[in-house]
Amino acid sequence: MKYPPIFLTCFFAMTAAVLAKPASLQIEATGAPELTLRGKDARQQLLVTAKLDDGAIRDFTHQVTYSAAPAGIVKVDEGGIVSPVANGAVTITAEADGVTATLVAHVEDASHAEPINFANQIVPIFTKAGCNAGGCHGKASGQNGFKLSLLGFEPAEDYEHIVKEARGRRVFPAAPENSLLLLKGLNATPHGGGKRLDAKSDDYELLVRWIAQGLPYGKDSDPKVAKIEVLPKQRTMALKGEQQLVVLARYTDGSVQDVTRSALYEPNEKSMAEADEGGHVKLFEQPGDVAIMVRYQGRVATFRATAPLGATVENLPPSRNYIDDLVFAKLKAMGMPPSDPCDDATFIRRVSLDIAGRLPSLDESQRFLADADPAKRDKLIDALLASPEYADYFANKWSALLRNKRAKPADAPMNFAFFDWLRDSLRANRPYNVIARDLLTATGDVAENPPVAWYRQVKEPQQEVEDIAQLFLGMRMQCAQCHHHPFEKWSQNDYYSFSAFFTQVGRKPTTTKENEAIFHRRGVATAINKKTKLPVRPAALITGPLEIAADDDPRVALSNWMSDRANPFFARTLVNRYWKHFFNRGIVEPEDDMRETNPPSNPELLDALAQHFIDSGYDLKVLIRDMTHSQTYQLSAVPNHYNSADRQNFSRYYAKRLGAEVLYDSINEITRTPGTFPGMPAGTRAISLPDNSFNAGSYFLTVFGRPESSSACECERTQEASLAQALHLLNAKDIQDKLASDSGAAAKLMADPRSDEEKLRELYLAAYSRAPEAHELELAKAYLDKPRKGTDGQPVDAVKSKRMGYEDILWAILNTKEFLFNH
Amino acid sequence: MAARSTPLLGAIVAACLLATRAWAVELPVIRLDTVFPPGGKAGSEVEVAITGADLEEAKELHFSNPGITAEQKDKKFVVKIAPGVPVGVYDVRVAGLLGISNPRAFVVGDLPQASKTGVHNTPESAMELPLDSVVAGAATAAVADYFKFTAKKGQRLLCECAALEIDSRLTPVLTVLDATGRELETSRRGGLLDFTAPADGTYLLKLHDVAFAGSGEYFYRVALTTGPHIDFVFPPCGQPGAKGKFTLYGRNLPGGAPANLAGRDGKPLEKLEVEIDVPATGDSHVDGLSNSAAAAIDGFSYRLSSPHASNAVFVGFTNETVVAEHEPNNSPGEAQKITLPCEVAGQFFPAGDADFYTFDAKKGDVWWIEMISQRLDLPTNPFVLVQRDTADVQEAYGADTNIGGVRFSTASNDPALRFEAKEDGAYRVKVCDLFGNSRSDPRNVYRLVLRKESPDFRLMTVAEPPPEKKDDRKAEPFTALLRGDGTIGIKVLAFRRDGFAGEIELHAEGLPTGVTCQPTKIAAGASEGVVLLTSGEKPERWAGAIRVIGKAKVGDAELVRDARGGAVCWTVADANVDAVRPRLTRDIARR
Repeated sequence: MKYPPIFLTCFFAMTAAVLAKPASLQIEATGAPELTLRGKDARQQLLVTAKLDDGAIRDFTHQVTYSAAPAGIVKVDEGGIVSPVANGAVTITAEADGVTATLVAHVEDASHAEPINFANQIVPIFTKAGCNAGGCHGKASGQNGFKLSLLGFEPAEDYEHIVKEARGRRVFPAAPENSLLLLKGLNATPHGGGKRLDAKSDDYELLVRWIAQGLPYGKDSDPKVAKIEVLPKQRTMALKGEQQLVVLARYTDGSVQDVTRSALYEPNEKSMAEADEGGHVKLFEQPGDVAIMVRYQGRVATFRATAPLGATVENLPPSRNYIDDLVFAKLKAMGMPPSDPCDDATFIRRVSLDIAGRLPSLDESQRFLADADPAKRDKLIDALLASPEYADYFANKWSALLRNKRAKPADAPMNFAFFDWLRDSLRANRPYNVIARDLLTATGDVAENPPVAWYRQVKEPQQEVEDIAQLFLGMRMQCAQCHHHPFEKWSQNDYYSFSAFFTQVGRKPTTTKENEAIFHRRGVATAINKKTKLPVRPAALITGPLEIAADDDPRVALSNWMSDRANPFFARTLVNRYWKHFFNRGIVEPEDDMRETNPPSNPELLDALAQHFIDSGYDLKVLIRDMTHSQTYQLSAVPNHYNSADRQNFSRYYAKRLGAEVLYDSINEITRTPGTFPGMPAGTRAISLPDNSFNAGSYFLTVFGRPESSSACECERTQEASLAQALHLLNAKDIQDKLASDSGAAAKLMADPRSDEEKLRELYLAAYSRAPEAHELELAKAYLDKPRKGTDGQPVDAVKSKRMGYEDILWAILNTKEFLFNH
Repeated sequence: MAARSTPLLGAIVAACLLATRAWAVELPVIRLDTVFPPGGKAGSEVEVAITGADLEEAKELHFSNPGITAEQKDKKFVVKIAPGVPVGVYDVRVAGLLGISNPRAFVVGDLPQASKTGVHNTPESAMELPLDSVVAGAATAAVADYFKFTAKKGQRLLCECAALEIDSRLTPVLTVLDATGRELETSRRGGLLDFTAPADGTYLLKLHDVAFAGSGEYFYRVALTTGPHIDFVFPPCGQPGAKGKFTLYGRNLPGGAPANLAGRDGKPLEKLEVEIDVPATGDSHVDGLSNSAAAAIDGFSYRLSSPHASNAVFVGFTNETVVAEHEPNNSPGEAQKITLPCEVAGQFFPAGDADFYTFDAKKGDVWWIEMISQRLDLPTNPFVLVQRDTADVQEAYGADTNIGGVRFSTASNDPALRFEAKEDGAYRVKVCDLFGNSRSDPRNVYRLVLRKESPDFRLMTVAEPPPEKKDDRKAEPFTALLRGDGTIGIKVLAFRRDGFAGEIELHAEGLPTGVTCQPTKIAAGASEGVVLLTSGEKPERWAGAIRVIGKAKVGDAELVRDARGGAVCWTVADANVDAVRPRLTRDIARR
């Protein structure tokens, strides 16, 4: 959730965190007992941590007073940054409220400046200043004739562009301050990007010195960044609390440098926290988990903060399985009491919509509500999983992700065959890893082997990699095709090694040119890395290159790797995807972007779900049963005093708008006007439609966001609300015709001899799975009894009036949030 | 493959002559779309209705078996099927003022047949389908047809729906439901549903097109039987004129034993050893393979006849010694030793199966290595690799060569290669199915032929109207039509084998009085020629099949080969967009 900026401003004004007196202090720099600063350019961010009387850990880096003795060896600024002055040993002291901590530091070669390394020292300045961002000089075409590699992933190219391109006009070693590069950065010469550098900053000074030194690139043997680390890695923080981070770069020669001020910081939940350019993190008022992604030189690390609400959590509902154990443990740690369990009416409607994509029938609701069996919820779940609608609904979900898109009418049999294959597989509950294998390794033609249809839509190895990574591994690899992934550790080499699994996919025309059959073209799979122009062998991200013989289909090796029990991505991605389906938010969100820098809100829960899923033999029905059996799933959507802001701890059921197909089917059900789809048998539900081709003829499905099956992203299905949707429900002809149909619900209710009260009770039960409240009943009855006028202004007879009354009530029901949402 | 010394009866083209003079403009040609019901029981009479185009004075039905005759009655035909007509699929054509039409399949069976009349598109209106009977029907768009039947607990019933193989547009989906409407079993491919009843009771069979398409052109014959049904025969080939031992794999085979194998639908198969008299020659294709690439394959179709006729399986002719594959032979170290020439009968089974064979060759030996699998109407894509020690010598993918053009593709997935040993020693052949890495289907047999170079050829006539424009991609059903004082050309395709590149002389026989055939040639190396027929000024009206014969010299020997006929099933406006369905015809010409 994004707060409007004006609100944010007010927020800061209030955020003077009240700090308790520390019981003890600790001062840290690199994690080593003593600190060594080597060379004139060395800097070190200190980290001062206090332990409070109540045992809580708090950051005091910006609350303490720093001093150093003897004087004249180092300078420590008020933010805790140490810089060298002269060689020698020194003791740095931090003090707050009379409590102190010390750290011994040594300064060596204080007057010596190490030769500057372009890649290690200069490029990060451009990254920090945003010069090489995707919107500026970092985009593929550069900006106004000056191009830098995106986020500095290609230092050699950047060097070429800065130093040599345009006859070297960008740098001027004879008078470094007059270099165009610096004048633009300072905005001293007009610069479209405005001022990016401060003339008083260390960065500016370093750039000047680099130009003055004659623009050294550095030696091949110079150390490179091997990894970065952030200190601390994790903290439990107070709401509105602060935390200074220290980012250390570990180089290939074993040396360590503080790069806190050169690294970039980005919270995954911008509504929860912010971080300034010096790595100083501030939390807002929303309890929960937030991760700060730290990036430096293509490396990433994450700081995770937990901000408990701190309320007392008592009287938790009894745990029904491991999911509850882990969710409730988290809620306890967060101090966030969950909402109450939902009632039976809410449950039957919720679980029917989530598993079978439909409202419960009148009969089902009546029987369920009257049933005294304590196991009735579990039995209902089993019945729904055994119903054909379960297979329809989930085939509909997968069919969109697997791009079952109809390009032309003649493709219809293939679209149907693929949808049917998915549906049959789900109905038979074939293990997920087997379904994935059959899809990934599909060969032959569609008529014989329907999953080949996927390869008809996804024709290039690159596209295949990107889809497979996103679908089955929860990874978005697209970025790494052209440059190092900005938020991930994946490089272009990783990307092309992954794509090498698909380079031996052979295609041959069958009944028409376009109807291609898929087979393994014999040969040793390699892909060409677009950057290096060198061939790479298949490697599945973390496996290293695999030895795959010319005779063997590399896709089989990939599929084996995916369904290996130890695979860290495959099961997690699926359980997270399904979790999102049932809980309206992934444990990792978005559900198919499972970056290291986008951590799960409850890692233990994600791990446990994945492990249970693997142990069950990738049984999708068992997974759904576990999720829906849980008390967590069966919590009310109504927030209590504490958890209305909760968006990630599952302390209540997060209501969601019904998907396009489900809503359409539900409206048809309530208005008793079956949907009609061209070429499909009468009464076909929208959730059973095999492909996207029906969208074009249904404004309803389009406006409510039924996907066109054009991508592997769940995001193609839009769940967002729009004015067009509201207007459609309020007054579109489509809906009006359903309400006013002579064979529809209003006409039938008018003719029904039962009392209005009975009929209204039934209507409420059908729409909401609950009986109407007394006041609702009174209001509706009074409305039905009201005399009415026709369009001609003349009073209408009682029968006509009754029917008009029912039409209006139906219309009102369809437009209630209670109907439009699963809650 | 058999080198046939005597030409087979196999005919080709149906030509129709009119007593009028040739018209300056192109006249329409009669077209047959549907014959309903598309079959009947041997020894019975069945009233059939036809639809098509340009059916003026369409008064005659011509069947490819003389035991089937028809007489017009009102707007329909009464078809008489003589009791001795063997169970099988035949061709029927309609003749009228505007020629003789393209063929349509007509099935002769041994089960009672009923036609679907009235509306049966809900479970409540389901039509009765008695056990061991056939219903002929046609799918309606956007609905399903329902049938009901009773079954005893544990009874294994087979629903077989013929559609594609009898020229229908239907791709059938069969579903068995219990009395409450719950789906119990579905078959989406191949038209066979194998159902074992879980309890005594009434069941429903639901039948519709995969994409819910439908019209009179989506006709079918659905049978409910207790079998037998043959999934495949092994070996899939035998020597012509010899008695051979074969194993049938299938369901409800009388006297069959469990085969410990699952069919493509996962259902258990039985096996049954049988002795078969392989005919010396015969109407090899009358009831056999129909894909156009199979024009180059000789053989016959076999049915198990008890308690009533099973489906047909194709047994190919071979002149080589047949060697059965012996597993394990999945790695070079386990290669099965063979002596050339021979023909290996093997199976691409289970998923990912690769089979290795090793043989000795002398420097300079030339062998042709040919795979026959996909042309047996199997969904395979065989691959052949020849190796010596660890080095690859030669490899071959499917023969994608298409000599019939976009309107009459003859491309197949079966590879063939010429192998010449460069040195003495052991060589290895690896074969595998490039479509088979994740699919276990025991039906997927292959014939790996390793023979001495024996140049030969087969011919197929192609019934297609002259293209209207360059790159014409329209395909339509058509039959040659010769008018008085006119000349027509009938296209003939040559399937050349083992590098045969010589000329082929063409001529036609069995022509009616007044029609002559000028001898023509398929040029050396060419794959296409034309037979020219010319009629006198006032020929008698005649409709029927003629023989097209090709002769060629190979060394001192003269090879004589009858052409088979080819026809397109349905009109396609653009062959790049919609699939054309060419097939071999089942005509027999008079001799």
